[in-house]
Amino acid sequence: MQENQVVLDEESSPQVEIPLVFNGKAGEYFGIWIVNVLLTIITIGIYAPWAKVRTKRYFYGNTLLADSPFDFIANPVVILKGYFIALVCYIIFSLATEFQPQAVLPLMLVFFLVMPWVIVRSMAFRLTNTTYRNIRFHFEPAYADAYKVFVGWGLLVPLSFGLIFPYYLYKQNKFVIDKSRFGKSPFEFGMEGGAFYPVYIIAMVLVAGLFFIVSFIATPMMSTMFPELAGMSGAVDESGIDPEQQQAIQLFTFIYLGVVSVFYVAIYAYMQTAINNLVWNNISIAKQRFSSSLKTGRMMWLYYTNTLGIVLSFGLLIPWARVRLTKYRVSCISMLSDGELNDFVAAEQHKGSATGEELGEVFGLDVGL
Amino acid sequence: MNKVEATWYDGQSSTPQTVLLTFNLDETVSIEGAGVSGCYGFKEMKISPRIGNIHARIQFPDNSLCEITDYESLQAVLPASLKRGGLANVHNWENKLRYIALALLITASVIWSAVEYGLPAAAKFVAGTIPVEWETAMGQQTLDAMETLEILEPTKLAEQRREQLLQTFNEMLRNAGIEKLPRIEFRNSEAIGANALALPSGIIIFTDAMVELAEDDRELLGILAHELAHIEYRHGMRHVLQNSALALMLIMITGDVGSASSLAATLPTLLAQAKYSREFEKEADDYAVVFMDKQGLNKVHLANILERLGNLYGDNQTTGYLDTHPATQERVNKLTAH
Repeated sequence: MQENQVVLDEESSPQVEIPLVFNGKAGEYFGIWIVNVLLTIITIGIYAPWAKVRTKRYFYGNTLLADSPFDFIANPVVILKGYFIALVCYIIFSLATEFQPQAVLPLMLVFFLVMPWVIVRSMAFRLTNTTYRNIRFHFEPAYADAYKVFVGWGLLVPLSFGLIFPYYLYKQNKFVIDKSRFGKSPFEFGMEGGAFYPVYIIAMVLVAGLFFIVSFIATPMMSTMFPELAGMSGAVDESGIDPEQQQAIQLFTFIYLGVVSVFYVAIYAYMQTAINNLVWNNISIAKQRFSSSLKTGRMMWLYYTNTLGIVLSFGLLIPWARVRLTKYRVSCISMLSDGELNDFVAAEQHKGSATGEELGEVFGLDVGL
Repeated sequence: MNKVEATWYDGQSSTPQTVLLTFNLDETVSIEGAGVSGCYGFKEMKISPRIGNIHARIQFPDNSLCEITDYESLQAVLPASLKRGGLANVHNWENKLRYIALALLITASVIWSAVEYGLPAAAKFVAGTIPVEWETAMGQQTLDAMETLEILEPTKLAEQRREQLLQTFNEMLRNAGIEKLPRIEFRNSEAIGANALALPSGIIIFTDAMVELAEDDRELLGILAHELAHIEYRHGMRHVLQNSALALMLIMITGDVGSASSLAATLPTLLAQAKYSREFEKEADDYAVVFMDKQGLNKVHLANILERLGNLYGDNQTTGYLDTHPATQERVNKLTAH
């Protein structure tokens, strides 16, 4: 059983804090992962949907809220159809890039216009196949709203020189969360529209700082140490470059890139953490709220060590990396509840198609939670 | 014992009920608990396949559901007729060390042979089925792009020199019986220095510095033979096909794993791409040797200009894993070996 702590919230009504728990184990997931990879490769990808469902079920089934697991019940055959459509789109797009570069722009326009539809389909498929205590989640297919947010507000982002981007991000999150339901109970997103701005301002200051260090300290230092480097971009003179000198330059460039990427990951981790916490802390459903307490330092550490582990192990530590990141993220989320998780009611069922979801995955669209 | 404890949900509300599941001899299962009772035939229910340590779910036709936390305890009471074949066996492979080790071994060898032989062979085959005309836009676009970016600028070579070279080149190509003569262009380039390029659809570019580096026109004929190989062997098209297939394969393997591993996937992709590029260069060198032999040209001329190129750019020592060309010294040694 959980140890439920009784806490007092602002309105001093008694609430229970129910932590989300993740029980997945790296070793166990390794077996699932390697068999998935093998079967996917030797079936030239046909097994991929089954692999995906197994993976999702492993992660959902190991995520417990008040001792009950989540589940993912999608039919792999539906996903296979989606994959096929996505593959055809990928091939058309690749061929166009290579043979008919002038067709790329119209194709991207089409893609931009289809994107909101894909996002809605993809969310609907994902949520309707996610269950908890035999109740399905749902996503309201609000296409008009999707176009307003992703095309309308999306177009305003470049027009405002990116100034409204944090607000656009808020709009996206609000759309995705407000249209989601668990059974008949709708989720609500109560965040203030401007709440992402401080996060982006801090990130911008950090980026500016990094830029300053690179252009006013590191680069001048480098060109004082290796004057030859200045001439590198121009024509190489007949005498060529001394190999020892060249090695020193390579080593220096390596360290230089290393330092820059460390800063880059730090900024990325900060943004992920801040945004994730803000979003979760503002979600509520039927008087239940959530709290998320990710720490930037811990996320940074996980990102660094995961990447390093994966590179040094030739990919064999991918399962380990994934399990420990999920474990940390899940362990930071808890539900602030009035203790009643038994009163949720199922809604009428309708099935979503997998096409949207798989299209979204191939083109790297990732929205929401 | 044919009973197992389970949590039952009616599918209407999220209220859990503890029940006892009994698997009866008449191929039915009965559910009993406080205020809950039911009986279903074996054929009516769906048991989820086993994955890791997660719960078992048994779905009944009326949308009610039993969750059993410990799959093992269900397995123990499940009648033989309900133990499924097929995908249910996947768990046994995922779960046993010797199968995992075997899967790892096979996966590694399949990936290795796909990268080493499978993708190149497939790309070669597919490239052979694509008409060269399809590449026309591709080649012209690449040339235009390089000019817009000022990687290539108008040539500064005297017209007379160009005319004379073109004549020498075309004479050799005609003697060799090349049906479709490549379009040979001269360009000045600050960015790429002494170099020659073969673009898709049969465009060959010599940079001014390359022409000036040659001490003998036969050296340039050697370079031409090498670039011709890139065109004859459809290396441009094969490069595109191979790299797209490689990217697709990596997406398939790393799947939905997140940003950390897609970053980590960059390095192996670069390594494989560099390796493919080096193989094309080797193939082109081999072609050039045969070609020059037939035309009665001594291959030492190609070796000479490669050596001079190597000295100029200081890259003639050893081949690195990320190099797109084999080390110049290796190429020269190979050319002068016989």
